[in-house]
Amino acid sequence: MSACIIRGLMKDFCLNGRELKVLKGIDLRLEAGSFVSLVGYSGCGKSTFLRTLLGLTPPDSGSVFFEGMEGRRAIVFQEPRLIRSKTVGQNLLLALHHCPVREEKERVVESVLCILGLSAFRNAYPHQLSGGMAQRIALGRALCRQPELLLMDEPFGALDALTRKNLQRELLRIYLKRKMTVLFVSHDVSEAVFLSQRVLVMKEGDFVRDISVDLPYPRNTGSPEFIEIQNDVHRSIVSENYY
Amino acid sequence: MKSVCRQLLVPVLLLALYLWACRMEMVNPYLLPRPKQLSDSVFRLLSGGELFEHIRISLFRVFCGFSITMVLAFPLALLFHFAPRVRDFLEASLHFLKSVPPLAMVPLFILWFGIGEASKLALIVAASFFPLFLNIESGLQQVDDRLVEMGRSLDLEKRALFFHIYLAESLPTILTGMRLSFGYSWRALIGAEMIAASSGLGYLILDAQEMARTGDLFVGLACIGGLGLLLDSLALRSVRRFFPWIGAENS
Repeated sequence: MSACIIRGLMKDFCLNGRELKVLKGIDLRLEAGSFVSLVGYSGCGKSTFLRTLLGLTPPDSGSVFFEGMEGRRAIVFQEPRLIRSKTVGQNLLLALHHCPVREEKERVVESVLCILGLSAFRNAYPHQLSGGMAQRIALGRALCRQPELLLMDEPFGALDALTRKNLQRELLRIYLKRKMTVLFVSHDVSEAVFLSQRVLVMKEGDFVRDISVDLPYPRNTGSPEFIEIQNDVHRSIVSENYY
Repeated sequence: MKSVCRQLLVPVLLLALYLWACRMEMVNPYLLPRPKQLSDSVFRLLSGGELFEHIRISLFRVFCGFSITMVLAFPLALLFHFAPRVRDFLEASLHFLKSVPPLAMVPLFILWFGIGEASKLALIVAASFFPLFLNIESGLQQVDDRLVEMGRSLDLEKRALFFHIYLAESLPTILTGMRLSFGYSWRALIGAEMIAASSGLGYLILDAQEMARTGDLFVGLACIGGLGLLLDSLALRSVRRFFPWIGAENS
């Protein structure tokens, strides 16, 4: 069974001369094709963990390796981070910067735009897009990388509730179609339970709970089972050792 | 169309005021030339091709000077931004130079470079360097770190990061700097030509004053202002044409 395996990941930051342990030796196995969410208070190390997985921040110790996978990764940030001088198409092409074949690049961009239903916006500039659309383009840019592991850092956190709901469904649809591994950071418990098969609760640089969500997609957020799991996750976030 | 009409209102009113003042003989013709004197000046300067020659020479000088400024300011601004060590060494010296008005350096330029073209170019460069340099630098400084992080997440190497992110993001500020800097070189050029020259629009004006040809003087002033306006609006138009996203963001 292929998987992404993380062993003993540690990272310290120095803040105003004080040593801050952000990641305290994280061990994790992400099965290929699974959707895993990461919840916890802000500042608990979620974002740093994602950046370390992507290689943007080198860890102090520990390792990340891929079993039976090439290890293609991509990230979606909380903000779209599109380049304002480039059209939607050009922004997506940037993700395929390393691909030498022009036709191949065009094909990938076209198919991604098609999946997102945004083909008509290929020549639009970012300032002409709404917040939700811009974020979908950012998701598209990550999909252009054809990732085996998709990292998402609170990707819908800055959107209004209605748009967020839409994008959650859209992400789910794409996930079920592409069968990639997704690691989804969120501060919204309901969102995490709605989307993922496994919810990891993070506290002060380590995981304190690993809750599996054994409900079929699409999930009914009003069902007793759903609410039960949601409450369980909530309790572990605000449990006794929180101060 | 409406905005063009609005823009023309003030010039038309001034023209009417001028014609009225001439009709009433309110101002000495030596100070404010009559329409007849003006048309004579225009006709004389145009028929001999003299005016075009002055314009050609002035434009040539300003484009040469401005090109030199670009060649100097771009690499230096990049060096300043991407090599903080270099900045430590040069920052104070550049601030010193920035504080010296270019016109104050004219005597020195004449001493060093003579009264030929070199001293004029030196003055243009001295006047237009800082607006461009400072704008490029601040443009680069304003590039959002989060975009750079995004670029790194796409595995862009240094070159691609520079062109696709740093340069693309700072382009509006750089273009503003170029427009500003070009305006400065145009103004400095006229100054240069009024000090040591035998051709160019600045020379035309100074010569007209010495020869008491008030008509020529006004024609020269109109050319300088008109050309400045024309070049700036051309620059603005091409920016809008080639970079449609600039300025559209905030509206």
